[in-house]
Amino acid sequence: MSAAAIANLLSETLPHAQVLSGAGLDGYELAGARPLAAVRPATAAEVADTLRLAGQQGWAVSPVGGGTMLDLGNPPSRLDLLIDLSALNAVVDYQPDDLTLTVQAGITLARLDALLAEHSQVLPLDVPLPERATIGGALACDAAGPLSLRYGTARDLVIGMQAALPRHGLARSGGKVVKNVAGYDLAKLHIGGLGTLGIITEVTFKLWPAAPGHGSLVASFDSLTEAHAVAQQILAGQLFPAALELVGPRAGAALAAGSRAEPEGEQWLLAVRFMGTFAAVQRQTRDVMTLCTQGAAPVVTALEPEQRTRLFDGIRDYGRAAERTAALILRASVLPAQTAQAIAVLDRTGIRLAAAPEILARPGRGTARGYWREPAPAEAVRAVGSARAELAKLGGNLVVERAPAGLLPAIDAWGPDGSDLGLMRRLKQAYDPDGVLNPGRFVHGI
Amino acid sequence: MISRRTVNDLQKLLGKANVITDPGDLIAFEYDGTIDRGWPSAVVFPTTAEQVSGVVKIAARDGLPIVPRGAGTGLSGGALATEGGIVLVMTRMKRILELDLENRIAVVEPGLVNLELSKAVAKHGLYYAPDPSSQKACTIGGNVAENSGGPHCLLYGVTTNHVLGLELVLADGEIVRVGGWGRERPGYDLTGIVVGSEGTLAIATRICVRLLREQESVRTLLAIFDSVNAASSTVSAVIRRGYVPAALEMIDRVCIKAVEPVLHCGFPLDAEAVLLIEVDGLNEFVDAAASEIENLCSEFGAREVRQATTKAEREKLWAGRKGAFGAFGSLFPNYYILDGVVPRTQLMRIVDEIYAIGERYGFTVANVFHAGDGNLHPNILFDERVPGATEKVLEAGGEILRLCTAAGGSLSGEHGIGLEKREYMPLTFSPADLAAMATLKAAFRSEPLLNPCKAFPAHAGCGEVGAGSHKAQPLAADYYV
Repeated sequence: MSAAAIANLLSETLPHAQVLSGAGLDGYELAGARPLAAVRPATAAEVADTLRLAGQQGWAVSPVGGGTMLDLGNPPSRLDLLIDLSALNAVVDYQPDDLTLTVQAGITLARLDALLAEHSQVLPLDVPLPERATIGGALACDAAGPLSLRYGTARDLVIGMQAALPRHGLARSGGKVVKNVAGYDLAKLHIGGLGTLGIITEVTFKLWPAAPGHGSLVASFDSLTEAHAVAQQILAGQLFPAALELVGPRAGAALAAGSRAEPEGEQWLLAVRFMGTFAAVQRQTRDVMTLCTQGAAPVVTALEPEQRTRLFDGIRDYGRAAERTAALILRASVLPAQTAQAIAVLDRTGIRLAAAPEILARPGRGTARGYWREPAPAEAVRAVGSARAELAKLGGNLVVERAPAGLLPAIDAWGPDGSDLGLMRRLKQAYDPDGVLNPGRFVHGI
Repeated sequence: MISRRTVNDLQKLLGKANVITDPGDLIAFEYDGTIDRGWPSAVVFPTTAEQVSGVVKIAARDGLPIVPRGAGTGLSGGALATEGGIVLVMTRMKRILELDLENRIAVVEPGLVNLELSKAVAKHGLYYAPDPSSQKACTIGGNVAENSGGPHCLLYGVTTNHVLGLELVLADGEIVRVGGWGRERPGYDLTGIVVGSEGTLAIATRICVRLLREQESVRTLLAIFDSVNAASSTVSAVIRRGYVPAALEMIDRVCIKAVEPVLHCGFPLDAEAVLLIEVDGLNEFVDAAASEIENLCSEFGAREVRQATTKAEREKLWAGRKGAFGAFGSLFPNYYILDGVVPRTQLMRIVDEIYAIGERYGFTVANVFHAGDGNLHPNILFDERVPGATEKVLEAGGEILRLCTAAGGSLSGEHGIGLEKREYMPLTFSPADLAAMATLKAAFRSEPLLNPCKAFPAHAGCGEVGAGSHKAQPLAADYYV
């Protein structure tokens, strides 16, 4: 079907949607591919109608939110139509006294944060680039930030969801109360499902009260071993930091660029953040400072509020902000206590690529990310393969979160993994038998 | 009915001692914690995942449904063999297989009793957070099936927030591992899908759970009120003011009258309601939070607030909360417990209306519930020997559930839909919602083999479980909820 025919059919079917084709498609690209048309539905029902139409016509469809994480996943095997969810940006129901919030999927995290701040509440989902990132996109990618240490990820915060499904139209699961076991928890399919089973249209969250007190500190260590040992010591104890990040030497320099706190040499930083009552924050800051000093950190600095914001926002957006974009981002996941080993794998990958990565790690969750500005594509295929083999020995895995054009799908973004492949394929087959949604982008070619 | 061949094959697979078919023995498995009954054709006790897989294959071959069962404490009829078939009892698979102290995770078999895990790791200063009131008896496998909660889930989350991975036997007998087992892992969150699926999608044979570090300090407050309304509005106020206690429970006058003379836990007999509020964390936090919450309670009309600081004092108060259900026996021979959830701001109105419904039907209603997250447990007290009483109880229960859903709430906070509430599902879910959920069963190819006709409205092929076949539960002294 021609681009014009698709656009016409969409316009006829969706009276309120904005339909784009031809020159109007500038900026609507996915993994370097340009769709034949794009549509910006005005309602959740129009999203469902679009999917129904796509199923009938055999179009391949990719949903787009703020476009901040479109690099995640393999390039689509087919792409006819982009669905832009940005018009679905309403706050549907906010009950501050119940600590619950229902929003449409296209709302940005920043807008939400501002709304909740008026009531001293938070949705502790600190995903990269909140000014642009949308709830739907963040959930589909299962994006998370430093605060996931304390508050968990989207799966721990979502209590209800409506999604548009190719075969069923709009379907809800969960509800608006904080505790609920009625029906299957279908939201779990869509969180991290990269829009391959349905398109998230509306989400209900449980919220948290904003903490009255905040504090943070940075300790620099001469070696990763020392920094990692102190991190594990903190995590094993009774303190409960809101965030705890390991920052490699090159990433530390990049984060501090332009500020007075620029580190010298090959030092590993441990950045820790506390949220809670003032007294509890004070106590934790003191205890962690002591642990760092005992753990041979030559320098431990408590951060001023603006330094804290700058550092943790920098970590959250690392490698994704326009001014310092990484070309290749690899995420290694292992058990929390093995985080140093995951970092070592990324370092060895750097040697294979003849370019040392900038490294950030979240030892409480067992993840480490390596960021490369200019990797050598030819070497990358082999290097990623070797890294995966090393991580597999630890029971871990490696996801290519971003790669230069042409590298995917020569490298599978997700890697081979697990005995539940058959079950995942059956889910895809059951919910999207015609392969309408994001074909080829997810695990195992789904 | 079950054929000689099926029984022989089951015996060959599991050993004669692990297959029950004698009616005198089967009767012990016709009930769970609800007021329904279901008669199985056979009850089997596997000890390995391979055996579970073997049983599944035999059942599939011979067209017999499988009903997975833990300790049988379930409160929605999920473990009843209402369609006949094989009850698969997991209680002989109860080992702790791995304890990874560094990463604070454990791998356990599904038949392990919930509290046994916390006891086993206590010497390392760790515990398993989800704490259903039946935790002395219920199994972690059953908790996974129901996505069980408990008083301390207010702050720490329910079962799904603590399960990191599962080994599953699928309906075709295949054994698969899902989830990251402590690591982040790409792919669909199959663990999250299976937790809470009430045994209808797959059978868990290994469970990887997160363990938590015991808190530095714990304080339990007992706030005593002269009106239920004042207690309800205090609950809303605590949440609104930005406190999320570890637990926030309400116990009303009827419960106090039942529990206090038996357990002597310190609930005043002349109170209309008490709140049990627990805060935990660092010393600095607990001290401040406890005194602020105490002030709030007084501000909202508590006539007295007591603080329990020692472990013994705390345990006494919690014994009163967790033993409330067993104590109902001193008032009435039977009780019917509900599990609806409402937005926390509506607690006051809903609790009022629940009492009114009880009055209208001529029943005493006892409320003991997880007030902090709006999860109500009204208990309708009755005597099943009175003709028509059971039917009337179910009718009153239905009215309470409709009240909860009309308030924007849920049919169940932690007990599951099972058999009991399946026909109420259309109150909160549209046909499209239910069809989308049914598609999950199609993907798992688990229907009609695994726990058929549970959790969703009955369809053609499901046996009749009308009001006529309901029977009330006998009360045992140590019967927990």
